[in-house]
Amino acid sequence: MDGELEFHIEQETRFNIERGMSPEEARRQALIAFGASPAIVEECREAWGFQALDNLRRDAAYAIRSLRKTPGYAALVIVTLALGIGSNTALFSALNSVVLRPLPVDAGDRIVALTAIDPATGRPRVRFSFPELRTYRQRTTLLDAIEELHTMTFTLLGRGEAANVETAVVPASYFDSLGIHALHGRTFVKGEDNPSAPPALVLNYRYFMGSFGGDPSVVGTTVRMNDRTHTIVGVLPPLAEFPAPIDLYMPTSSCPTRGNPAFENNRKGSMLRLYGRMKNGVKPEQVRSEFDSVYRSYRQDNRDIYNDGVDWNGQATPLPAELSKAAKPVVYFLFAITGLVLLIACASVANLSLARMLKREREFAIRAAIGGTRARLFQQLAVEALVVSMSAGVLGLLGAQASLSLLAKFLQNLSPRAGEVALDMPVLIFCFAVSTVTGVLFCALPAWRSRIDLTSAMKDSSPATTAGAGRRQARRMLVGAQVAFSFVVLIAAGLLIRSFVNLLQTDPGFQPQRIISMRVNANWSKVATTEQFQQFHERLLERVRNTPGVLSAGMSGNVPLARANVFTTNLEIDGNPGGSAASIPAANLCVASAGYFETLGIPLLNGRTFSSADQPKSPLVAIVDATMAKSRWHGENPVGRRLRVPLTGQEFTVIGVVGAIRSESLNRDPNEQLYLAASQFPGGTDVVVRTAIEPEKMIGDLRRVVHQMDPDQAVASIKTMEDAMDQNLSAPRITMRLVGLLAGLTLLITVAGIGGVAALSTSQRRPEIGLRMMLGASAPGLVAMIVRQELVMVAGGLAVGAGGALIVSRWLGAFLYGTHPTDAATFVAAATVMLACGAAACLGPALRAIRIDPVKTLRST
Amino acid sequence: MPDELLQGTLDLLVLKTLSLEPMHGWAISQRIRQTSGDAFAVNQGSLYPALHRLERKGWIGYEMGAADNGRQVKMYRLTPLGQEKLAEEKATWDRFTATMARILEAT
Repeated sequence: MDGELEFHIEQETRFNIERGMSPEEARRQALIAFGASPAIVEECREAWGFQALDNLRRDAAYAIRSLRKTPGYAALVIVTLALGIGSNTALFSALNSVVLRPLPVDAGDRIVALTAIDPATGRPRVRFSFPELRTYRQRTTLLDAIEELHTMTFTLLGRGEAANVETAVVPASYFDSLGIHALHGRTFVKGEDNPSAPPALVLNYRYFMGSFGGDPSVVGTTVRMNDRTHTIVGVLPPLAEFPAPIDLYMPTSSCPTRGNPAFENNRKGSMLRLYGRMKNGVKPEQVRSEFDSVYRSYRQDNRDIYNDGVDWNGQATPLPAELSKAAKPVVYFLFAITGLVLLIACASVANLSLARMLKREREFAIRAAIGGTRARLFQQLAVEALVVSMSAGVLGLLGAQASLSLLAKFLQNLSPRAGEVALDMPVLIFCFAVSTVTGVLFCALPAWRSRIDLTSAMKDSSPATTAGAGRRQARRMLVGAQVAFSFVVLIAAGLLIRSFVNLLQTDPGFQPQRIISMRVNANWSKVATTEQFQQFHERLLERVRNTPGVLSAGMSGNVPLARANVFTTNLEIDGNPGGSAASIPAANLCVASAGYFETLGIPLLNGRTFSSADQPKSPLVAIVDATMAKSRWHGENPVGRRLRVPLTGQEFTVIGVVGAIRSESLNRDPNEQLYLAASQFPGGTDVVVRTAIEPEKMIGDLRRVVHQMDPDQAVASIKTMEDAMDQNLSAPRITMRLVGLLAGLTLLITVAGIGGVAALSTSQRRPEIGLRMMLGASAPGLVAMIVRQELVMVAGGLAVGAGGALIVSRWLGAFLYGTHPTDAATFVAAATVMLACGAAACLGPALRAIRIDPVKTLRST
Repeated sequence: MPDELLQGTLDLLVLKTLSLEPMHGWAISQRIRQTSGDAFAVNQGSLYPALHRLERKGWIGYEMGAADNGRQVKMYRLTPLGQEKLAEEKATWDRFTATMARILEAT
C-alpha cells in the first residue's frame, strides 16, 4: 500500500517541480492534493490489511467495557471457568511432575532399577549380592554402569540427642553415574570409598533442612556415626528419595557389613539394590531381556544358593515408572475427574453466554445492518470470550499455585517424587491452551450459533421467536450434560465415602487402643554379637515392663501398620514341599517375643504363645495365624505339626494358632503369618507397649527408659497405634475429601445451571401460567407442575450420567474397599441428591412465577 | 467540481480512462486532469478508495508492473465485466443528462 501511494506522491511532486515549484513546496502541494481525511485513511488501510491488529485491540477494549457493565455475569463466568481450569492445571502439574517427567538428574530418563519377580505370585526380589553385581557388570552390554545401594539405620551422635538416621550406603561412583550434582559442597569423588580415605557423608536435602536448619556452613563439619567420625562433604538438591526416605549417604567403606572385604565374595549376602544406566538409544525392554538372561545363567551357575525353586524373571524398570507406580492410577483418576469438572464448568459458561446473547440481539443486529461481516462479528465474540477465559486461566493458575502444597502432601504417601510438584513450563502451556480452547469453544461458539433474527430483534418483540426456541433447546441440553457429568462425579465421591467408612470400621485383628509402638535399632558398634543383641532387647523389655503406667509389653520384628518390613518366605508343611509353583506355601515371617500377642490383644485360638520355655537350645517353635491354619491344614489342628523353612534350613514345631491381623495396611486382607520366637531368633526391633493411661503421655517416659539404658541409643520412631492407623488411612481419606469437594462444587454449578434455565423458561411461560391461574389452577398444583416439567431435563441427564458412571466406577474399582463399583445404594442416593437439589433449584423460579398478577400478564401479550 | 457529484462520476471517469489502456494510479489521475483540460483535478484522496471499490466489485483488475522509475506499482486494467458496466454507466449518464437538460430547459 505504502509503495503505491508513495509513488503517487513522488510523481505528483515531480510534476509540481516541473511546473516550477521548489522541491519542498512541490512535495507539500502534492500531499495537500492527496488529502488525508481519517475516513479515507481508514478505508485505504482496510483495503490493504492493517485493520486486523487495530480491530483486535479495539475488540478487546470493547469486550472489557461491556463486561464491566455486567459485572455479575463476568464474575460468575470467570470464577466458574477458573475453578475448572485451575483444578485441571493443578492435577496436570501433579501428573507431569510425578508421572510423566523424567527425574531431574542428568541421566533421568536412562536409569533403570534391576530387580526380579516371581511370575507365579508377583513377589518381587530386589536385593542382590556383590558377586552377582560383579557378574552382571561383566556380562551386560547395554548398560553404561550398574550402581549399588543399600539402606541401613545408623546412630548419629554429637548433635544433641542420639538420633537414628536412615543411611544409604553407596560407592563413590554412584552420584556421577546417575548424574546427581550437589547443591552445596560436593558429592563423593573417586576413591572416597577406599577404606583408607577419610570417612565422608552427603546429606539429603530434606534432612539438611530439617535437622541442620538449612545452614550451608554445615559442609565441612563432622559428626559421629556409630564409632567413626565423618565429615559432611556436601548437600544434595531436592530430589525424589528412593528406594525409601533417606537422610544421608555414606560410602561403602564406612558400612560395617559392606566395608568388610569378605562381603565382596559372599555369594549369600543379598543386600544390594541395583540401578543401571542405560546406554544412549537403548530401550528398557532390551535391557530387561538381556538382564533376564544374564540373571538366569548366574542362577544356573549358583544353584546351591538359588535353591528356593522359584523361577525368578529379571526386570529392568525405568526409575521414574518405578517411583510413580503407586501414584499413577490415583493421579490419572483425579485428573479425569477434574476434566469432568472442567466440562461441567464449560457447559455452565456456555449456558450463561447463551442467556447473555438474548440481551445483545439488538446490538448485533445493528452491527450486521451497518456492514459488519460475519467474520468480524465472530472475531468480536471470540475476543470477548478470550478475555474472559484468559482471566479465568490466570485466576485458575493462582489457585493451582496455592494448592500445590496440599497436592504434594497428598502425594507424599504415594510417591517419593511428591516434592517435585511445581508449575513449570509444560504446565503453563497446558493452562494457556486449556484457557484458549475453552474460551473459543464455550463462549464464542454457542453465542455465535444462536441465529440472529434481524427484523424481530429490531422490533424488540418478546423472546418467543424461533431463534429463541432453538436457543432454549440448546440450553436444556447443556444443563442435561452438566447433570450427567455431575452425576458421575457424585457417584465417584459416594463410592469413595462408602469405601472409607468401610475402612474405618475394619477390624484390624488386634486391640489398637492405648498402644505405643517404638522402634529401637541397637547401636551396631556396641551390640555386635547375637547374644549381645538378645541381651540388649531382653533388658530393654524388662525395663519397659517395670515402668509405671505400662500394663504389658512385647517385641517383634514387624509391628502391624508400621513401615512395612515384610519378609516373605517359602515353607514346607509336614515335609511336603507343595504342588505346583503357585501353591508352594509361603508366609510372612515375623519374630515375636513372649508377651507380644497378649500386649496387642491378638487372640490365642489354640495351643500356647511363646514363653520363657523357648530358649535358643530348646526345640525350635513357631506360631501360625488363623489364615495359615485354615489354608494349609484345612481346619485341622496344626498344633504339634512340623514345618520347614528352606531359607534357614531349619524345622519348627507349631505350638499355637493366633488370630489373623492386618499387618501391612487396613485395606489388604491378612496374609498368612508365621511367627518365630524372638528368644530363638533375635531380630525384633519394635517394642509394643500397652499403657494404663493415655498413650501420648507415656511417650516421653519410654524414651527416657531407653536413654537411661544407654545414652547413645537412639529411638528410631515412637508413636501410638492409633496414629499409625490414622496415617494408614490418610491417602484414602484425602482422596475421598478431594473428590467430595469436587463433587460438591460441581453440584453447586449444576444446580445454578438448572435454576438458570428454569428461571428463563418460567419467565417465558408467563402467559400460559397466567391463563392457567385464571382458569382456576391452584398455586401448589402449578408449582408442582413447573418443577416436575423442569425435572424431566434433570432425569434425562441422570439417565445418561448413570451410563457414564457405570463405566467410570469400574475404573474406580481399584481404590474401593468393601464396596462394589456398581453399588446400588450409592447410585440411588446420588440420584436422589441430584433430583432433590434440582427440585430446590426450580422451586425459586416456580414460586416467583405464580406470584404474578395473571391479568397483567395476559394483557401484556 | 462539487464533491458529491464527483463521487458518483469518478467511477465512470476511471472506467473510461482505463478503457483506453492499463495504467497505474497516478497516471489515471493525470489523464483525467489532462483530458478534462485541468477542469477536473481529482481529489487524489478519493481516487484510491474508488480504485479499491471498483477492484472489489470486479470491474477492474491489476497486475504488478514496473513504472518509469523502476518501482513496482499496481497497473490497473478494465475487466470484461468492467467493459459492460462502462457501457451501462455511460448509457445511464446520457439518459440522466438528457433528462436534466429537458427539465432545466422547460419554462
